[in-house]
Amino acid sequence: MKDPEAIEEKELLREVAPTLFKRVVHSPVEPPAGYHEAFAERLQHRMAAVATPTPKTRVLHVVSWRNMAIAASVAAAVALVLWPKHQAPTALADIQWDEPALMVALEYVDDATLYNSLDLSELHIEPPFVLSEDDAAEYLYPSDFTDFSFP
Amino acid sequence: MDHAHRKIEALIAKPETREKGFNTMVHTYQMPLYAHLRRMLGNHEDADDALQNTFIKAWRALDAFRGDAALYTWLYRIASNEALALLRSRRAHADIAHTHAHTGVHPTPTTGDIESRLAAAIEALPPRQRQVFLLRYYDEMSYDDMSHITDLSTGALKASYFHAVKKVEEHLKAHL
Repeated sequence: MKDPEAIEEKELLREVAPTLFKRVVHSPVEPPAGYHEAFAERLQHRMAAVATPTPKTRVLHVVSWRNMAIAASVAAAVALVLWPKHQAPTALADIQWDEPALMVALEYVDDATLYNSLDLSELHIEPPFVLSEDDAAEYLYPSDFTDFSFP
Repeated sequence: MDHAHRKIEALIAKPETREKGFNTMVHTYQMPLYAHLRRMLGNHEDADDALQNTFIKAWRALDAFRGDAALYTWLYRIASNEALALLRSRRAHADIAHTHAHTGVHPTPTTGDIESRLAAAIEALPPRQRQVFLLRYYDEMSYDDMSHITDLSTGALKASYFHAVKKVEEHLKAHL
């Protein structure tokens, strides 16, 4: 829904920002080839996965974390290990850092989310940091992460 | 476009045609929303993730959509909130972890041309101003529609847009 005034405004703004508005700039935002054609199908798969109930969904109540980056790393680590076990194609580590006790909800995990999360901290986790849900422990093995320790 | 809007709204109003209406909505809006999210977030991966989240949330909230707002402003609102949340989380991550791995938007590196300089200038704007600038400059949206999307008054939007333009201009001048 284009607003004609917005189009005129670009011309009027020549005086305010002559460099920017000496010509209308349309910065390219082209996605990778075939992205839009395949989007609907990918969205359907994602929606189906999100709608699928447990065991793909794991909610961990995390307490006493030093900072959010560590919690993010744990979420990513858990998701990494959960992924092959539950054959989940992708997942999202949703960290609600506004809460006093961080809650990590693993609903749906994708590579970018996992590796970005892992990149955010160096995975130095030491006691007395604990996961309030013991289930998490069975999926976390120190051998999976060379600089990772778990209480 | 108005006809398309009405057709989609009619389809999603009925349970038996809701899925068809949703699919039509995705087809109609995925490209403009992608462009908006890509400019907000600066890279394809985040834009793709935010776009998927936008439609998933829209699907879940279709029951709540009663046509009080135009369909496209409703979708832009969801998409913009997704983008703002992602930008805030990036900032929080950067503040806490002092990460050097992912500190902000990474515009497509087409250095040397005005488009890449503009992308960098937009990246330097605070998230809210960035949102306002993009909606007005690229999407050529009316202040009334922007008000529905952002919950800001038209006066505040005009002021925000003016300040954003000034900042973008100053950034461009400084980096010429």
